[in-house]
Amino acid sequence: MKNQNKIIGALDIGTSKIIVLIAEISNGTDLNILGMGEASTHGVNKGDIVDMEATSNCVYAAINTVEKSAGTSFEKLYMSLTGGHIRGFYNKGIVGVSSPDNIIVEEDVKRATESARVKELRPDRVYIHHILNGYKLDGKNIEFPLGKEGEQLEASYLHITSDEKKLADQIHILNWMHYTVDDVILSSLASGCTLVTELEKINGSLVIDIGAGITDYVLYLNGKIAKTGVIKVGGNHITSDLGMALRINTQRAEEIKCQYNKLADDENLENRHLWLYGDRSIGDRPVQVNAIDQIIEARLDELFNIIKNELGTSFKPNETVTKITLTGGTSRQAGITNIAKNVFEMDVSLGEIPNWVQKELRHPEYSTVLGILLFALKYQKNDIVSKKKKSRFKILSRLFSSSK
Amino acid sequence: MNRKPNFDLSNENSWRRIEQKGFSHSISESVRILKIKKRLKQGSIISLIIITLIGIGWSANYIKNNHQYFNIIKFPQPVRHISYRTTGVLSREWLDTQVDFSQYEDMMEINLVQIKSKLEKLDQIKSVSIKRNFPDEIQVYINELEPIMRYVYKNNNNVKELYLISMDGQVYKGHNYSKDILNKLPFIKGVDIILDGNNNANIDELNSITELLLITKKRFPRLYDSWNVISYNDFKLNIISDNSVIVIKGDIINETLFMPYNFDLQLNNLANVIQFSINNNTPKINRIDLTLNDRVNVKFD
Repeated sequence: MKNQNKIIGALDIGTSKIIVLIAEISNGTDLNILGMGEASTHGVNKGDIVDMEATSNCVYAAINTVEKSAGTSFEKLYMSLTGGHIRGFYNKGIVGVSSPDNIIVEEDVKRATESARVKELRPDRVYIHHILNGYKLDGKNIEFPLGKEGEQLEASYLHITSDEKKLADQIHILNWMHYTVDDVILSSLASGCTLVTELEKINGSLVIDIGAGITDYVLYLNGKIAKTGVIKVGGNHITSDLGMALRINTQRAEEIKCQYNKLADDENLENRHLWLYGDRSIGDRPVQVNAIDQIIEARLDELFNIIKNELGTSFKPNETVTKITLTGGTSRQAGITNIAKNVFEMDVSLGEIPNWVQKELRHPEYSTVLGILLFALKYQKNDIVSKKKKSRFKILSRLFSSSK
Repeated sequence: MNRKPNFDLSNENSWRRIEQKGFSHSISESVRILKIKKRLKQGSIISLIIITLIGIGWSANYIKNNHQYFNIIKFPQPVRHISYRTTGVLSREWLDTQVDFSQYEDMMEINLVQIKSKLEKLDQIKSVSIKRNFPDEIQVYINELEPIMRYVYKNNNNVKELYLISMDGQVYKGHNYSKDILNKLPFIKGVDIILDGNNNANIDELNSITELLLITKKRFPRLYDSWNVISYNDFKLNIISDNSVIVIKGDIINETLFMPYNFDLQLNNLANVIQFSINNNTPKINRIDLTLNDRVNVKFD
């Protein structure tokens, strides 16, 4: 078979940094990461682009780095998407079974899915994903409806939508550099792709990706995406809280946050302290670590409670959900798993990047961009399968046409 | 049906309705630089293509107008010219009888090593160098032996055959030598040269005489030309023996006797005697004995 190697790029524009990975997909099955480029982000606030020029320069820097490190350019580009403008809703399509013997045929399934997917949006909104959530036959959940007997078939879809202009801004930045975006993937789905196995999805799993500006989450129930959302709270809010509470500037608050994370490895934090300005100048004074701990805990506790409330009744600890995974840059915050554990009333772990990924990329902030690559790989597989089917069909049709 | 891709977007409300295209205006400095780089790259590629096309066109036109200079050699190429260069006297006609190049239809077919070996087996030829000069010429360089003596050999049937002896003692039958050349060569007598199958003689026996002849030919060419016979009758292989004498008979001096060594000294003495004879207008020298070391015995007519 002819080798079908493709060089693809995965771009994640975050609030604090832009990450680009370049990888080679061989024969639609093997993924080989060739290089990584990173750049600090300017012009992005809580996932939304507020300064096109500044963001454009940062994206250019990251892409330039990755292409130089890999020594090649990508042919296809996949991009993650997040922000407060992302919305999700369910829609159902209900059809009566058409055949006289009430056996469901392909046409019935097609009508049900089309009905579930046809819903007019506001003119400023666009669909990002249509995620099949399952079928019901006469009110009962079924996995594969084809060939079953019943009267009414229901298809349920989770639709993810975005603000058209905000998405267009992100795409146009790349268009200006003469790159075309091949697909857009919701950040939370990309992170889930990296960190959760198929079995964990079936058993129920919650992935929370805490970035600098926003937090994405995705809930898997019975192997399907049950809920996903974006909360405009992230690591920057912790820094901001520290700044306000201790009356220091943001830069110093970020330094104190990092110093606290280093100290937090010690068990005895009772009498430990950090210097407010760090330069022992006039007015510099020690701050009890416990006080910092309380400020951070308050913000994270609030964040996890918001997520818990949004999940509602679908989240039942150790019943519907058996695993909670934290990822994203802010998941490195010391003590975060304990705070989450208290809120969700079950064990919480930090996301582990799979072993096939290079050691340098096995950090929580790369889970989204790695997920984009996995999504692209899955997309390529489907693409190859459909192309193979098409080519087989072509051969068959040629055989028939030649026999005429 | 569940196995169908979940992320299917065929709806007109899909994000794919957002138009993706390169924009004419640049929003930031980096994008501007990128655009300039891309345009330069595109420009250089286009220029390269144009230059290549112009080059091809010009070359085609040049070849069309100057096709006589572009003879493309197609193999097989027959041998059209054979040139011989020799240091001696061998003629083209004689050489053509030895090597037949016409049997080869193709330049590349010719086995140069074989021909070289064949020519070098000929007794008059010392060494041969052959090379192909494409498209159709074979060049043969021949280094011949240079004769300094003649030798008459009686074969088994008592028939006399003339042989020549080269500077390095090779005995061979000469070809293409003119009478003028041959007449200038002295005969050697009193030596039984036993020829092997390749006409090679015992070189050791001839070493001393060839040395004498070479020095004489170089220092006194007229005297050398006047020498007719070199006699080995009183020559013994043991050159240290006082009795070994080389007798040379010639036109200017009837008989000259040499010791088989110290030729320079003897020739100096000979030169002094001749000079004395000319200066004093003496009668013709009949015999001169140079074998007495510091003395010379001269007999006038």
